[in-house]
Amino acid sequence: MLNYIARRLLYMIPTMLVISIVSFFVVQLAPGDFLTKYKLNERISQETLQNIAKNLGLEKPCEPLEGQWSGCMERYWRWLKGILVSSDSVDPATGQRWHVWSIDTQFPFIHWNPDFGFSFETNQPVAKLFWERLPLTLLVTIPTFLFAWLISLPLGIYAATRQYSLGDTIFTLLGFAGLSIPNFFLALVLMYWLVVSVTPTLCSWGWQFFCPGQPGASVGGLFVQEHMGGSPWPWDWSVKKWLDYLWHLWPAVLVIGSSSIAGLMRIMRGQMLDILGSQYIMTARAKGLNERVVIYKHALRNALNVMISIFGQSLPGLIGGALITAIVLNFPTVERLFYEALRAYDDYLVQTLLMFFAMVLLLGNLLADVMLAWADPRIRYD
Amino acid sequence: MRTSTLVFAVCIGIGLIVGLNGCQGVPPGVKTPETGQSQPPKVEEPKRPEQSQPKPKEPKEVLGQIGALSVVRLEVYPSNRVVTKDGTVALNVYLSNPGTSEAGEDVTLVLDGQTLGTQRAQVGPGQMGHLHFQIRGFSGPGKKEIELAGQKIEITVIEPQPSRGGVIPTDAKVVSAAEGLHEPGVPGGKIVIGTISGPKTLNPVVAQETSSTDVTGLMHASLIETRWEDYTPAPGLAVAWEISDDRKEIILHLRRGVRWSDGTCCFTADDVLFTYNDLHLNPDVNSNGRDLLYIEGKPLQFVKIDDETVKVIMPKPFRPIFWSLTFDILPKFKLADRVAKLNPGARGYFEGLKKAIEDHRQGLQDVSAEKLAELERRVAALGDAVNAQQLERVRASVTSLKETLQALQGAVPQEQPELIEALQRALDDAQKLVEQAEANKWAGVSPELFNTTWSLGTPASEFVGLGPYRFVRYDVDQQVILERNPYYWKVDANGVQLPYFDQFVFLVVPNQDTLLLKFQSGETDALGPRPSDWPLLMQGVKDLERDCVQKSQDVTVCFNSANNWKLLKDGPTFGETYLAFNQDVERVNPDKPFYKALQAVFRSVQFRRAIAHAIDKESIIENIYNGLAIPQWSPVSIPSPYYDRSESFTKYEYSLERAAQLLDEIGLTDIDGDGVRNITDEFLKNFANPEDRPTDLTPFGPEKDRELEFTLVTNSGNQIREKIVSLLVNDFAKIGVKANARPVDFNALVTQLTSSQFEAMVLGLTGSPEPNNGANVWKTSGRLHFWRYSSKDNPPAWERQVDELFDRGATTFDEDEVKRIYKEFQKLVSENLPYIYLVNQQFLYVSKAGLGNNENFKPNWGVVALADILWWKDEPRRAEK
Repeated sequence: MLNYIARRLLYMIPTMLVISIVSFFVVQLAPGDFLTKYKLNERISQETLQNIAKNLGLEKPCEPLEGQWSGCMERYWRWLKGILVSSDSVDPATGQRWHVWSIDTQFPFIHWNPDFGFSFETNQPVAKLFWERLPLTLLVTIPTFLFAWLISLPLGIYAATRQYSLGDTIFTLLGFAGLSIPNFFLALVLMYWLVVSVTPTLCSWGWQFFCPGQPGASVGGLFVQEHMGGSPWPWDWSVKKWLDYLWHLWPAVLVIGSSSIAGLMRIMRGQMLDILGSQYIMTARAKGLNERVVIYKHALRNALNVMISIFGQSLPGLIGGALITAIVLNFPTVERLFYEALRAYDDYLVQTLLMFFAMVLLLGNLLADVMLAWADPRIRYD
Repeated sequence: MRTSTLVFAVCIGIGLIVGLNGCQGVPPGVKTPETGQSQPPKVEEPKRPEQSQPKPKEPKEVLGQIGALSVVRLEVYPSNRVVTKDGTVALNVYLSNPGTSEAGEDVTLVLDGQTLGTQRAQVGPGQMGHLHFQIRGFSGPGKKEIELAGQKIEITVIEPQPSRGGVIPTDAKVVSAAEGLHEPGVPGGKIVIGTISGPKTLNPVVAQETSSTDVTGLMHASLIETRWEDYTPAPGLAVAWEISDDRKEIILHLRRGVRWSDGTCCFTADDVLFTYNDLHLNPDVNSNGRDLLYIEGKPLQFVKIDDETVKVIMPKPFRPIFWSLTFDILPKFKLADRVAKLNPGARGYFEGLKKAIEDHRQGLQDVSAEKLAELERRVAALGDAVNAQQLERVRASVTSLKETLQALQGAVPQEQPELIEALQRALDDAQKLVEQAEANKWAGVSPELFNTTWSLGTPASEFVGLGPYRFVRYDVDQQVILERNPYYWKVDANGVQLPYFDQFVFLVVPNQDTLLLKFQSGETDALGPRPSDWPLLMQGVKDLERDCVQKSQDVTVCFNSANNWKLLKDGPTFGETYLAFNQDVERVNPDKPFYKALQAVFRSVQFRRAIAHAIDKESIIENIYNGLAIPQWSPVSIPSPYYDRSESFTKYEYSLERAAQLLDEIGLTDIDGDGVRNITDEFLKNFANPEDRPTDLTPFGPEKDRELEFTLVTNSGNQIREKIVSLLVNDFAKIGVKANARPVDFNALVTQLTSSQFEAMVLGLTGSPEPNNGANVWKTSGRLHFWRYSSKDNPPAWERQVDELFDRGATTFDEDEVKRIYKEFQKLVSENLPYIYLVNQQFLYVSKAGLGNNENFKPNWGVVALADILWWKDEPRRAEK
């Protein structure tokens, strides 16, 4: 097994190289670059623009669609070299190596400290921008993910075992409703409803938590203004901050979760139905096994295989999944960083994030394969 | 949308700056000593009477007469004539000599009957001159009367109240009603404002976007501020200024005793020079305002006269110069070591030393060939030591090098001072080289370093400024917290130090709808709503008669008592939206004759006028802006002081008949009956502009194939513009002109515009109070002259006139004349319609009802501009921590 994992990890290296090329060109295909928007500024002269272009390394154009390739190789190579070659890039703000998790401080025997480039807009290392946002991103996505899976799997099983029953129909209907309402719209409606009627009512009932200035009256974001900042790790929080977090989290869980529940539930249901209709289930029932054992031991374990694969594929969603919802709900997450970088043509940032999403997908697939082997004794990779 | 943000950013970056702190030998945290009655009034030593050489000016009216000289103008700083007890009152007297011979007269300054001093004015015949007086410090509070040149000026002296935890500087500025401070407030509390994006950098020199400059604007202050009532310059860190009579120099007198926000004393002329010469004018720095410091390609020069006086020299007289003096002043003591120019390192000093000797090699050779040989040997040795970065070797080499240099210096004959000087420079460089080497600074600072200085990762203690607030922290993508700067240099009329708030918080909310909800839920205290949000916000206003107050011609304030909000509706903003046709549309595809025909149409002013008549502005206002907009006809922003209030420019009323008639007249008729007009042979032969008229119509093919059809682009994602475009397409269809709407990604649009690859467009450029800021758009040589780049080589007569008007507008100083010039410009543009202006949104603003001092401002800049004068009228909000 270890052998297999090592092999898969090795295969990832050339794959990532190809992905880096694709990421790079996807970004460069868009017309213009970071500086284009300044061209319409009445007060920035040509000389100033050229000066900035020089400082950012954007002097030579790279516009593959217009046949201008002169700057492409140079830009790509500069970016790739930073990643491949160990560098001692420092945070210009402090003059020290920026203080986040980096590979060679954790594992000194790997002398590799990749430099993923810097953001044109903020002049900060890409990796720093990413790490800064990762903890809060996971604080949103992990509960959402858990919610969606923990609800949809049982519902799928329930719906499959009681096919065409009233319960099946109701859950399917609800699921599809959740799927078809645009997330951002649901989020807005939910927030509007909270602001305009729910919290004022709860406050008028004497619940201080929901009165103006308290966490309960706040919508959007992860915390009220007073609780922002500080440690991003939940174990450092006060009880009040925890309550604040939970109150802000549930709309996100509901909105993002609702859109994925229908899909997951239907797949689970379909898989279960397939298997429940197969002959060995009939055999199991015929030999008088308890229905519980038939479903959970014989049917479910086989039906789960597909779900495990899907699980692996949906891992990138943990980091870059709910873009528009994150913006409407005002979460300080990685997807927002990605979105703003896209809009600003912040090349290094977009390329690196694209690469990162791809890498998480590859890892997710590997994880799914490993889990499959563990879940299904028939699968062997040796 | 991007354009507006960016252009706006620059405006804000230079416009908004308020702020800072006090000093004069008092350690941080100590209250300003109460200067007692004993301090006598002081008069500055007489300053040189300035004389002018060029043409005599016609004095418009004469205030008085001193002997042979006429008093033409008297300027008093501060203009509100309120000053603190230790503060400075400055006076400029402008005198003209109408006679035929040179005249000299004594001008005496009298305070409350007591003569303070006399200066002598010497003015040549038919010329003008001026004198500058300063009174520093007064015996006590109360009304004082100053008499100067026969004029009586009453000023009010107030006693500042003790600073809250900081220091109030000697020369505190008393903020008056003209600058928005109508009700002196009570300090305390915090304000939370929503912003659509977090800052990208906290370096005010390189910041390009409002999200960054909104924050840095509160942390820094500028020499000159803009007075919002009338957009005239108001004293900032410069307490007063004099303009030389040839209009090429400005002398700025700086505020004394202003402390930096960390308590460091004090702000001086060196900081001004550092900000301008070493940062904005330094090519290594990605300055956001450098272009404002160049006049026709030549830079402004900033020269220090003394610690409290700076002279600005312009390459030629330039009226909008005050915009160039509104940059944030930065602390030299904090930032100097981040600028490559000032930190060459040991290597850099070595190069300087080497150059000093090489440049005078010939002269030194003549003095002593032997010593020179020795010197060069030692320089080479030093070079090796520096390259090897060995401190001991460098020390030894420098010691021996110095000996040689000194020996040489002694040998140089007195009549060659430049040699002595060069050797002295070399000696100085050698000394600095050792110092740098000892500090282990071998290579010097990278030219890139300053651009990355003061980024988002910088610790708060590193940020030092002169603005009303200090940086506390930025929680990434969530909030920016600023706190009151206890050393700020402004007080209100009661002598209370500004700002009133203890904390200023920007809440980052990237979505407009969420921003609205955040205001509704009470999490933010103010909001700039969209027109579509207005009805919702006005819901709680039941009785328009009772709840709304008309504050001025434009401003209406309504109180929403249900939610306890204050809603403010002001006149139009600076933003402009317009429709433009590419009059070089031939360049889209030079091989297609159709584009040549279309170009003839676009260049026909009758066609453009017909289009202007066909635009239903009222329906745009009603349908897109909820009625909260005003039609615009002029290329100058309506709030600008140079907007032609008499509206003598041409307006094109909505009339489909008139539009159709105009098109019929020039032969753009629908000859094939398909509902779309054709570019007929008749039009091309008779009505196209002479230079566009084709001599041979054969390549154009049959006229019924030439439909009057074009693509109308705008930037996608800007919902208002997209909606406007679709309404326009409808309007045009009614007169048989077919437009195809196409939203284009902003970057792609920019490329199309700057390379003349579009047909027609709807776009906006953010206006500003100063029309000259649009020179890049309007002058034929301008980089943004997209509607007709070919004018650069071959301008139509009216465009030549515009060029000339812009040149005159920037160099004329008589405000009435300037207004006439821009009036003429507005008229020309409205007649020739290169841009067809559409509508201009009204400024909308809503805040909690308890916010004081935010009702009477004219400027459309929002809460940030008023950050130092807002206060909470309700006690509980003031008590908030």
